[in-house]
Amino acid sequence: MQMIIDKSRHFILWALLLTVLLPAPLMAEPARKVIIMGVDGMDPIFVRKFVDAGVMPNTKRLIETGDFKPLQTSMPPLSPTAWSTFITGMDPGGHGIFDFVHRDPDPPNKRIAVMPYLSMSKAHGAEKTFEVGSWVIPLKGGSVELMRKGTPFWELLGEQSVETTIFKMPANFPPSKIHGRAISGMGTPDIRGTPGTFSFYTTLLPADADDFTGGEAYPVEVRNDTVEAKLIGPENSFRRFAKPSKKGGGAGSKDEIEYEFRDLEIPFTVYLDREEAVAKFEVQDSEFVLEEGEWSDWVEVTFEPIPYLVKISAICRFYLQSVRPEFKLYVTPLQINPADPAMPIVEPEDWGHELCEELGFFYTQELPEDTKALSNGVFGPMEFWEQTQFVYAESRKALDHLLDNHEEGLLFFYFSTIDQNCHMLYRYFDVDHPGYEPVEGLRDSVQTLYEEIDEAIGRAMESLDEDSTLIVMSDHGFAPFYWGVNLNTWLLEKGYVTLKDPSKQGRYPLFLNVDWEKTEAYAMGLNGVYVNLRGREREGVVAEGAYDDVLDRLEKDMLEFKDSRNGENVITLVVRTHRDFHGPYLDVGPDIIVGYNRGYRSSWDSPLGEFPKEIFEDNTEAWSGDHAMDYRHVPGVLITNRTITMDEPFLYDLTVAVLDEYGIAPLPEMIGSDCIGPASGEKSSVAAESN
Amino acid sequence: MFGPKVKLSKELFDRVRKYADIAGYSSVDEFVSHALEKELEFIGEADSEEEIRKKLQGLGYLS
Amino acid sequence: MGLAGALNKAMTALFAVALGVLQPLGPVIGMTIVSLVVGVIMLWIFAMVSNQDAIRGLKDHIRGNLIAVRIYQDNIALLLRLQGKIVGLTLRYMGHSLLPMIVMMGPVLLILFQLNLWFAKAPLEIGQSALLTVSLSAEAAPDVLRAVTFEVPEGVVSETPPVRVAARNEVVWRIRADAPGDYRLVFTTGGESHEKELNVGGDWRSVSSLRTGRGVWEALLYPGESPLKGGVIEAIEIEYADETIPVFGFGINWLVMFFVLSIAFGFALKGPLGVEI
Repeated sequence: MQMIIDKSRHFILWALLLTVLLPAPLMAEPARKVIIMGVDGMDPIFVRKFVDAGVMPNTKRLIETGDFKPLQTSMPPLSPTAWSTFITGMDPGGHGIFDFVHRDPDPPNKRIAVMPYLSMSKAHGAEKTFEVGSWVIPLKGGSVELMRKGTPFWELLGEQSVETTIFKMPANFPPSKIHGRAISGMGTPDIRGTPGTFSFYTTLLPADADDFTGGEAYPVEVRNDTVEAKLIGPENSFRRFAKPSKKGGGAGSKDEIEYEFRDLEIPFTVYLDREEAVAKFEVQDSEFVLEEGEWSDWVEVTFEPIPYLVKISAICRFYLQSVRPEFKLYVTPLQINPADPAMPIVEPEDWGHELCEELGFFYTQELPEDTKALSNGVFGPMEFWEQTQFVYAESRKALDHLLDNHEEGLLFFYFSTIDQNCHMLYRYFDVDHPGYEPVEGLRDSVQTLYEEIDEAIGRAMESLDEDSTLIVMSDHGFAPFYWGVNLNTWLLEKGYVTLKDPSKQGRYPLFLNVDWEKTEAYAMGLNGVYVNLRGREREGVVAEGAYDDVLDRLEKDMLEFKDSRNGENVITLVVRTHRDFHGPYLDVGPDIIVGYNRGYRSSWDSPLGEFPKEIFEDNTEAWSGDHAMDYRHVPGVLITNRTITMDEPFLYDLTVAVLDEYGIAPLPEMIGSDCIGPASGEKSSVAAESN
Repeated sequence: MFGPKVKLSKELFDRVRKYADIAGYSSVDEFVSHALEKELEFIGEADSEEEIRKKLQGLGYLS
Repeated sequence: MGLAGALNKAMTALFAVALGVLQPLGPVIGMTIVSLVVGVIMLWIFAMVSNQDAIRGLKDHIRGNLIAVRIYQDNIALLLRLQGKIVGLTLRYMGHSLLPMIVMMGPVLLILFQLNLWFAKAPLEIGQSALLTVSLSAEAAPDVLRAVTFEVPEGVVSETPPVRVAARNEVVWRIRADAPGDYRLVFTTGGESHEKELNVGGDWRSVSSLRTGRGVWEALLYPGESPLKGGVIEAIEIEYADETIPVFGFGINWLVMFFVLSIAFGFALKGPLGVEI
């Protein structure tokens, strides 16, 4: 009898304990569904046009039952900045991402005054190593740091136990802490640590092969109908080789041996049948046959920095362009394998494995559409289009999978195809473009892209419950890129910059020819201008007291800056970081952010510190549309099944609205307000329930 | 002395000789060597950062 | 046909019957029963071939010495002697297992080749592509290589033209099957013509990836189809995907499952069957 009483007492105690310990949400109802489709570069003018034309029926229905407004973007309206603004609800002063490219004002190479770097993440090498012969063994592994600051909205959702899935959000590599699952998007490198380096193997090397950017061309020979070549992987940081000594060495030459690290390689063989224009490939354990013009599936390859011990997995696809008369083979940038990631791209890690089981391998590199292959002439326009179409198909398949498994909480899903295509396709349909070139198969390509997204929107609409919210949004819109502005050359002309040797203008990159003692300001990145401030820049000369004066003069000069060819203002907006932004990271960014007029953008060479002779350049490159300008020219879109309660909602207002979907108050540092109305008869929020 | 020879135009050579004197170089050879070394150093600087620059140029936005 | 060929043929027929009976039960039960039977046969061979009395004696002897070690823990000199003795006895014990091991190796290998045929490869899935490779002898002339063709039966698609790999005297196609079935592909070049089986879709069954004419050893390794004879075509291979055996949601490699199970059965049954190992 005594025992029975004891037992029942225990039971009551346990039950009490469980009630206290169980997290409230487990007992509450599941969090409602919010689906956000992030369509990079979706433009309100195109949406309006295609909806009116009747080719976006789902979007039309969504707008009719909900709402549609242009969504004001960030300044500069560049994807890393704009998405970071949406993620954190802050301007760049708060999240610290001002551009694709930031600058180090005191780089380790003491002969260079300022050095550009990619803004979204930073790699740290192994801190401690020991050496055995030529092998370098790290004791403490290297790491990658996400440079975006601030609190992402999903962290606040997670605090309230709202499950969140973030699929390829830009500026989220490595993915920040999440209650749910995330895979990184824009800012994710390929296996070599670059934004994407394709390989092109050919018996007929293009004349400009040395100037390729974003890709490498390798000459190959056909011997006995066989091609032997190599996939070039990341640098092997586990093994060093003595550098061939340089002769001379100049003053203070050291006796120390200099070491270098070499790239890892995987040899592969292609057996050609030139009669049938078909070939057999052997790459490690994979064997496949491709016809001319055919793409392979994803092929998994493994680099071995230390044989049998350390392995780096990557995936790539082969595109056999031509077997005869010349051999031409394109290989995609080597992707980090999502099932076995060499860098932290997915959180939790086994989700990557799960995704691959469901979807097969897929692109993980930041912007998979190979714009560089088109720019360098390795792809023709139709080949580029075809490649972007299977990038889209991969995304679309992933959307299906995520929607099917979305039972509660927030799902964010990112599409890159409209953005990357609009960059490249503008010149195929805009007759005013300096690079206008009609291509038959591409005349309606932009419409096709919007139709595709419309179909995806329809798929998302199907999965909505009565009280779910669907938000279709973009980070910016699009404008043509007619003319490149060499802003550094303009600064030179205006006397803000002095060159050491004016006769060598245009010959050196990275400001190497700049006389810093006589330079007040320089341009770096797509929209940034930095004052050469003493104490901050290593070669700084502008005194703190003169800082505002320099900015005043710059602002005035910029707003008066006209294109003499047509009398247009070149710059229509000047944002002064310290005057117009908020937050603790103002010093990371430039002092001025330049808002170019429609049609203008920074030139190709100016962002990395070059001084071409002319200020203006006609843009005849394949990259023909852009948005790196005055944000008012390129708003994004906001389409939702709710009402939009603001006339001019900004990206940072949408952040607050997303939090409000779950009844979560914004952080004090968030600068926006809720811009989405409640659903009719909206239920009490999760947060309220859990309290 | 019997090392490789470099061809200069007569005009340039005269100018080099003139300025070598003014700048206090003991010989034209020394002036030319110094100038070339400086120029090489200049190019070398860019060369050492080429890798980083190439990486940045992989962005579609730059070239 | 030599002795090896006859043996191979007999084994293949035996497994075809035995596993044919087990086929409706699926690969998990199939593999379990095969492992059980093989475990028992191995025990029986061991009992037949080994000197059971000697093994029993040696094991008792080792056990006795181990007890002695525990008793005389303080006597270092004796301990060392005992240890030396134990090592010697253990070696003699192992020596007694050597002969049965060697005797068993032959049948075990033959069994492994058969299991490989049944458990290692999966039939092509519908819509899945695979490489089909025809290898010619080194003496075959280039025009013979170029003349190799195969009849594409209905339900099978040749996705690419042939790749004639001159460097290796091979012809490769990428094929796909759109309907399930066991097809017979017929290859011809010059005057000769050969068949190769192609397995698509359907349940667990034997999947022969290679039909070979490259000698006895390969014929033993790939016993699924009769050896190719007397022509320039030396081998015909279909690159099937690897198969695993689904156990509680995990895919287990057949070889691992076979060894674990047959050894486990062997140990479990040695008592009941009175075999000393």
